[in-house]
Amino acid sequence: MVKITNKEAICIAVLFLLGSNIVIGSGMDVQNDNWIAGIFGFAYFVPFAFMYARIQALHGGKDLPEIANHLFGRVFGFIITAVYTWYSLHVGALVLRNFGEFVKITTLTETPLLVIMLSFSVIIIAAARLGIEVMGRLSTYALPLVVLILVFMEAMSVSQMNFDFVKPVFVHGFQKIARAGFSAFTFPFGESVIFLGILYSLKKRESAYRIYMTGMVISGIILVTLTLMNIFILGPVEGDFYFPSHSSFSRIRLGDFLQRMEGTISVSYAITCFIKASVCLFVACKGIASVFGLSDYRFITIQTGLIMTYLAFILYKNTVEMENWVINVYKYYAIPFQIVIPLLIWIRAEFKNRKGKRPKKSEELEINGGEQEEAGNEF
Amino acid sequence: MFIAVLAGYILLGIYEFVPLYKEKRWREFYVNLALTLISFTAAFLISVNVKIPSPAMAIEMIINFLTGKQEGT
Repeated sequence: MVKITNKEAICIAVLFLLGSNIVIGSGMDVQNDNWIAGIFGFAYFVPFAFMYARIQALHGGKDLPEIANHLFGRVFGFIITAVYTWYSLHVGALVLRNFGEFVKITTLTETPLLVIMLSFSVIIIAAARLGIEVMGRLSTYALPLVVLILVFMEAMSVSQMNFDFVKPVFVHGFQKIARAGFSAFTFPFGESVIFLGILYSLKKRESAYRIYMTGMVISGIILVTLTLMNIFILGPVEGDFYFPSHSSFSRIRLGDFLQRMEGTISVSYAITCFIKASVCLFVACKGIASVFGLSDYRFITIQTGLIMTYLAFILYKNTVEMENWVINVYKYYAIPFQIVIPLLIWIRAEFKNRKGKRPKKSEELEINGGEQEEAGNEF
Repeated sequence: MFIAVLAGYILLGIYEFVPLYKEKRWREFYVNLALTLISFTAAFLISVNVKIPSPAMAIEMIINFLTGKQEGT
């Protein structure tokens, strides 16, 4: 069985959580308080990260379909697997569509959207087909590059920043920011529930906690600093941009020497989207393979990848519709996948675990009888 | 456009189905066939500019119904 190291899993987790958010941003509807919404989203996610990790730790070596079958039996296990297969496919399609829109708006304006997405899906399909080990190894090389680019660009943009743009802090009120924080929780942090589909390949089952916590902290810090940077550069109108990080990076100027640095964020975005979409496709293929009882998921990666691409194409008519859906609908849509079903799985897993630990009555009698015999022999 | 889609799927079919047929992996063969039919239908409809209904709209309608929100708010 293919195994990945903790380091590889953490790198995948960070890139997965950064995903589309390094360009789209998080929170989105509280302008200069977006960064606080990001922190709220992070705080909301902490107990869920523990819950996801606990589910995995209780079922070391098992992937999501196996966990569902083990806990809920064949019928309900089948339903849960089908639900998460759809969710993975849908999230993958959303990521692909976001990337397609980004490329079409910023770079390849004359190229049809479907061509951009099909070209990108070729490498996503290849990565998913090669398996989680390849994605892990790739991530260990890609993550330092992404972090280096972001840190370097943030340092370069200091001269363009106006720190007063962040004031007045908490102007939108606690309740509104807390609500925006929930959006930040569902997108991107809560999406890491899909990770339950790949953590079966960890070498140690307890490592799930470490991976969730480290991945969450690193990606949380990157996302909050990036949101702050966007606010410092673009001001309170940051929310009016479809791709705020791209706009703020394009304003970086160091004399005539360093200008128009937005290409760097495009590279980072391509890497993070690639990893996220590959993981989603991988989990979706594993889910389909499990539902139909296939021996290997690799046979269906090409067609599932193509279906994901067409789904991405038909989801929305344009960028405005996409953004409205993500802001207004996604936070509700994600609740069953990220909160309700994992909560049910966790509760059931804890009950089953306790039941398994408690010795049966017949075993208790045997133990007691054995002890009494031993005591009698001593006398 | 449709010819390009057809040619692409014939090539994919040769690449994917011939090994499965030779190895007699029937379950994989039929699941893959079903997925190919879905994906080919979608590709064909897109290539002839037929508007396929988006699941995002259906999801939005269900959520608006459940949360009591008006559409577009």
